[in-house]
Amino acid sequence: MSESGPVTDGSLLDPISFKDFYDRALPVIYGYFFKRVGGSHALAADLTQETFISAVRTLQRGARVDSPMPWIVTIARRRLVDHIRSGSGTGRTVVRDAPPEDLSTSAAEARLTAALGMLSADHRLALILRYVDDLAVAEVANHLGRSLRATESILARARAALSAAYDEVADV
Amino acid sequence: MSEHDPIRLLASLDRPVSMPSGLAAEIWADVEAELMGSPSVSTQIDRKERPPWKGPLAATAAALAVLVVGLGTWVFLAPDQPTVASTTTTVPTTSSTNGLPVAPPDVVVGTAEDGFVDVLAALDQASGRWQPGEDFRYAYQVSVVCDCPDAGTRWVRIFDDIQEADPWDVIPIFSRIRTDVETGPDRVDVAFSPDDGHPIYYSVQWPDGSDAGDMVLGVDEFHEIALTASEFDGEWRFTSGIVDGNEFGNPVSDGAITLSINEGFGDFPIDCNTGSMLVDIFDGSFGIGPIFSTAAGCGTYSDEAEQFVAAIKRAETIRHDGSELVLSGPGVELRFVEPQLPDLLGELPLTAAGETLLLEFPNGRSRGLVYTIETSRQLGESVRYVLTAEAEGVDSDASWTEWYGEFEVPDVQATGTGPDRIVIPDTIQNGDYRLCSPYWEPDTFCFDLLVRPASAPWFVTAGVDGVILHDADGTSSVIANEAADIAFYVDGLLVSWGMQDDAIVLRRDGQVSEVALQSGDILLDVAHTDDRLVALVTNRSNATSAVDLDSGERREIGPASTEARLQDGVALLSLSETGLEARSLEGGLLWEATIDAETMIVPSDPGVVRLDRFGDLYIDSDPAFRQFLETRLVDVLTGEELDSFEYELAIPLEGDQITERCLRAELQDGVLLCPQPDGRLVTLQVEGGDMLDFPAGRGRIATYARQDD
Repeated sequence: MSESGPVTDGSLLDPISFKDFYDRALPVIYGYFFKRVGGSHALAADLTQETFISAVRTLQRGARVDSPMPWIVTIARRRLVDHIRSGSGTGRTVVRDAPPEDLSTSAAEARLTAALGMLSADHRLALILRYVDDLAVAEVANHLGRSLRATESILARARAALSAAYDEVADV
Repeated sequence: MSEHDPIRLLASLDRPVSMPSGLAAEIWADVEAELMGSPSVSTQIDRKERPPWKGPLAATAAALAVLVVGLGTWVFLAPDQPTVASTTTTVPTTSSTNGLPVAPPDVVVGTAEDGFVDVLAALDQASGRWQPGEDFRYAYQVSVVCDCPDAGTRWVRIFDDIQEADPWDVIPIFSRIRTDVETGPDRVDVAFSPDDGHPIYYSVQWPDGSDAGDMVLGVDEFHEIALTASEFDGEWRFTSGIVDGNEFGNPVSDGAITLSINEGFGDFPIDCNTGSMLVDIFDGSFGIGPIFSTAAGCGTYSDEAEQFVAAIKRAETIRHDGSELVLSGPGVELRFVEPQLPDLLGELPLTAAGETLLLEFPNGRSRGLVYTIETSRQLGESVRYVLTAEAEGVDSDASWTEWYGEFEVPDVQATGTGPDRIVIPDTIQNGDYRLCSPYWEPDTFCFDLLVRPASAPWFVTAGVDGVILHDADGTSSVIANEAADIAFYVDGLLVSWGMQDDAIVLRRDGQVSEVALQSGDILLDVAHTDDRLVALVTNRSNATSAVDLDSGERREIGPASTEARLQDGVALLSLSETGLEARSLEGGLLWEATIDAETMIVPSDPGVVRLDRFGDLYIDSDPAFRQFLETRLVDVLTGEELDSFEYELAIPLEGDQITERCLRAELQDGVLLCPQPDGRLVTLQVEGGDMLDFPAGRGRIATYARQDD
């Protein structure tokens, strides 16, 4: 199955096809969450599971999916936004548990992940959507439920907060 | 990649990470079960809690055999249909192990095979406006249809198994819905506000043990207001409150609180935001649902507003005490009075955005020159304006500004018959308003103001007209049956995008035209220029294009921009927060400026800095920019202090607004020289940063000295 090719509802709902898609999408989705939730392996796994189940239910409701990978990443993003905005992700404590054995990260990445975990929920979400997911500011504003103006302001403050947290992590 | 720049490092986070195989298999098992339709935890919950099917009620139930709901059809399964009986489980009648009411009577809800309805999916179908994962700020409405054998009063409870994880984690989300049931089908509006993207299954039960008969939960078309009117409906100005012995008053200086109750829906200001909630009033009892608030950043926050929110959540009773309204509950009491409305002087002639109105005062009534335009209260924010009138013999120009929250504006008194001249704001939306002069007490008064579409074919874009076209799955393609109409305003004229015959169309002023927008387009701005209606769009092709919405011609004019505006026939592009470009609609670069990492604006043409809407955006929202504006004149361009410096300002700012429009201003010895289009020279006494750094926070206009030469 081509990653970018159109996929009919029926074919993706087929367990074999979906398993193939699952195998390809799992590292993408898991990786998506792992780096965005402050390096928590368990939380990333939970959100990954919720994403795939949500995807299945969306398919069962008859949704048509032309591009499966962007589609499920979008579902993952919504899960992440929900998670952070629900308050579950508002803590400013760095939460890191044992990473998977085969997960290799550079020191700079680990430091960045830790710094992200120290930010407020709004700041972390804004930075992730803007710079990691590469969304336009208008799209970030849409996700945050804020005006463009307010989003620009949040991004400016978030950048400053990340720089400070990044330095703080280095000092530890 | 620099390891010292965390922003650049962020991009590195977007790469796959392998999951341990055991865990991957574990997750797959759950996903596969879902895929195969195996019972999930939630369906097990439903089976345990599903009310019993009872009685030969087929005759009356048959009347409810089909319930058409919005765009979808819900089929009520009559009780004598074996498929229903086979999926119904008897609930114990004498005890409850999960805290639910004991022995709910005969109820059948919806048509899902387990007897429960996926209300959110139904909402999705019915309204076309809800999408999975969307944030809810307002309540939605479902209808309960009850075919009850006898009349009486019953209470309905709605339970929400939010997380589908804990079989006993059943949470009443709005549990005090009352209905007077007549014999035969009846309806009651039940409001709820889902707040999560999960499929959520709602069951409706009659917890009073009565023989309620059969019931169907369906979904009407999208509504934002539910429930019914009460004798307490109206506006109530908060005067005093007590929370656990601590008295507090109305934070008049920081945002007076007026509680509005309207047919079961309530709202009140929380500093610069608006809190909205469902209000349940019945026989002296009072309760509210979750409070949904707008989320603007306020310049000031008041303890009183916080106390008010805490208190109203605990209020349980409502009553009149003389002319006062009193809400009370354990340890709390809130008192309100009816606000005294100013005199209504009459109705102004029908007008349109941008038009000038003349106000005459036959009795020579004294008045101020400051007016406000207020909307009637509604869901969400009430957009208002502050206007200054031009009056004979008084040094004042007609002007307006959008306003959110408290403000301070210097005012002067005018007398005589007038006419005073006011200009209706360009950006006002059509509708009913009140034009008031409430700040020259005691002679406050209002006019009714009706704003209707302008007849002139000239459009001026407002700051609210950006829309994003994307489909429900986020794949940035517009699919006909999923594209909800998106409306916005251009110069007070309602314009909407929508789908018609598989094409994206633009509806405006009764006209429908097909437009050359493509999948993934993000519409940034629309404006008339040279009698053409032009849209600026950007999309993932990394280009910004100008689209002639009448001819369909599309032309790439520059790189993809995060924000763009059409202004005086020029496209102004903001590029990834690092630069500004002005481009002609034919694509040529007119000028450019950059914003470096320290948020400094560096012009390409030293000596001339153009601060247009982009500059406003930053300056208004980020204190660093305000500081920068102050220091820029001194430091940035030449590295040395300057007594004078020429630059261009294209005001107005949105929100915080100086009403002057300086075409080319010069700063000399702390005085801003501001030439006007008519040749006058307005001087503004300013200190560095004063123009934009309003002392009382956003939305408040600072007092400044002004003198015309």
